[in-house]
Amino acid sequence: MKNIGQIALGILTAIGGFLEIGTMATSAQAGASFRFSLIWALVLGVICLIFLIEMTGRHAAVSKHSLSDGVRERFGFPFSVVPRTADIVVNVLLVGAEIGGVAFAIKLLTGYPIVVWAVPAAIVTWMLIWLSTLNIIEYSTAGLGMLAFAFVVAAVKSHPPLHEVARGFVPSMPRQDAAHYWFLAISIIGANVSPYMFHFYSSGAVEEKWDEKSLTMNRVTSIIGMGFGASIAMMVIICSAMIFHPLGIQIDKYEQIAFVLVPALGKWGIPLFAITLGICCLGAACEISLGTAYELAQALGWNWGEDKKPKQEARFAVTYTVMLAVGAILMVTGIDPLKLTMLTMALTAVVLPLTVIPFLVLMNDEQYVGKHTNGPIGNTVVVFTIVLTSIVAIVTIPLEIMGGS
Amino acid sequence: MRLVNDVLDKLVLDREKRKAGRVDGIVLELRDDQPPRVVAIESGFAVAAARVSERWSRVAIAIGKRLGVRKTPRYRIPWEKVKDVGFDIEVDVDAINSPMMAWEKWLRQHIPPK
Repeated sequence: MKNIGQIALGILTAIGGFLEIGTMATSAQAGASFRFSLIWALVLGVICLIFLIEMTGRHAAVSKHSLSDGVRERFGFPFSVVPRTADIVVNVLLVGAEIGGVAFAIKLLTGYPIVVWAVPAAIVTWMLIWLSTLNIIEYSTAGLGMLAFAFVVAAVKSHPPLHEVARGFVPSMPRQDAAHYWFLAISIIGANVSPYMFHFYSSGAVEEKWDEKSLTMNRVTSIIGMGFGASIAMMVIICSAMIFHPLGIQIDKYEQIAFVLVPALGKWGIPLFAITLGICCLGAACEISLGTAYELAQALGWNWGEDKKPKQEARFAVTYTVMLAVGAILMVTGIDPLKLTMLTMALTAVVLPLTVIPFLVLMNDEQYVGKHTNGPIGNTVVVFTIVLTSIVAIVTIPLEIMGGS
Repeated sequence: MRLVNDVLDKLVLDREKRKAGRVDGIVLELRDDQPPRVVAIESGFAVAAARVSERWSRVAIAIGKRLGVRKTPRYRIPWEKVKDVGFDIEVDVDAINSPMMAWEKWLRQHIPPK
């Protein structure tokens, strides 16, 4: 049962990283504009992510301290205040985008606009967190998230040219619209390798009382969870490439993405897309608001825990409540959720290096991880990710201006 | 003991092993012809903010005063009350009735039950 719980934590983490509104949007845009040629960005992101998620789980299981704890303790307040503040700002925008995703999903089913559903969507998310436990959120979201296999069915039924799909695994230079190509590449990386995933996963591991016996399962979980998420995101790229690209359709509205399942599933395509999107965005909104509450509570030494009653960890509970309230307000103002999503993906990419750099110290500190320090491969991946995310951070803003949607 | 490495920024656990806050500052007494002596550890956002910028600290203190929940922005725990310096710092203090958890206590009284 504990193993299933571990995998559910991995899948929920992956849903928040891969199957939420950000990845749906960037993947659909990538497929529509550049067919399969941006699959490599997804693959690159998921390889880095599998390693980093495994490390956060290992750190939590051995030290019983989360990533945010470790950063504050090893790097001090003056260092940790910068990434934590940046994360919180970006996460508030992300929660807004996810609430927008849930509201958009309901809009597809009912016809009423997003502004009508933003507050109910935020209340449902809040009630799920307030009234339930981490396990209930994990099992329900991870279980219902399996509806995302609809994208696999749709991709297979669209009969993509496999040799072209395979070519997409290798990075290539764009033939046209280079700024938009590279903007989408970094958005895909930014949409997938998100700091809140590390905080959520490591805090979940502490909350579920992982220990050194959990390390093998942690490895399996990071591969299965992230692999599942990335595979579905790849299917969205394939579906979008097969449906929108031949028609010359550029994705600039959420409504267009909703048609991605229609050729394969007919009249069930839009309802199934709406339900899958709604569930995944709900899971992502839970993950981001909880992840932020974990992060803040750990950085400041508050008591925390989703499994405790809100009155026992009041500051933690108030943090995720405020997050959801601000996210709902953002959506009520009528802000375009797709534009907000693309902006937050780019901002996530900017703050990523500050989150990844501490891995190099924490995962080699025997006081925290004992004999389970990183080997040469793990350290190489961390260094590579730091270089990659630093390049991404530097080029994001210019590309946002030149090639953003 | 290396004060900055082993004490500063560590998690503070109270006598009930509750997470009470972090060691945001360390108070030293300078003595003539003798090495400095650790007098207390300090906790409070204003203390931590002062390590980044005095202006931030003043802003934190001003906001704290206006809200009026936490009586003092800098809460000092005498070094004699520090029971153990390990992975976390254990202190002989009832945190829930101290300024460290004043906000937690206030919120507990004002949020609805589950």
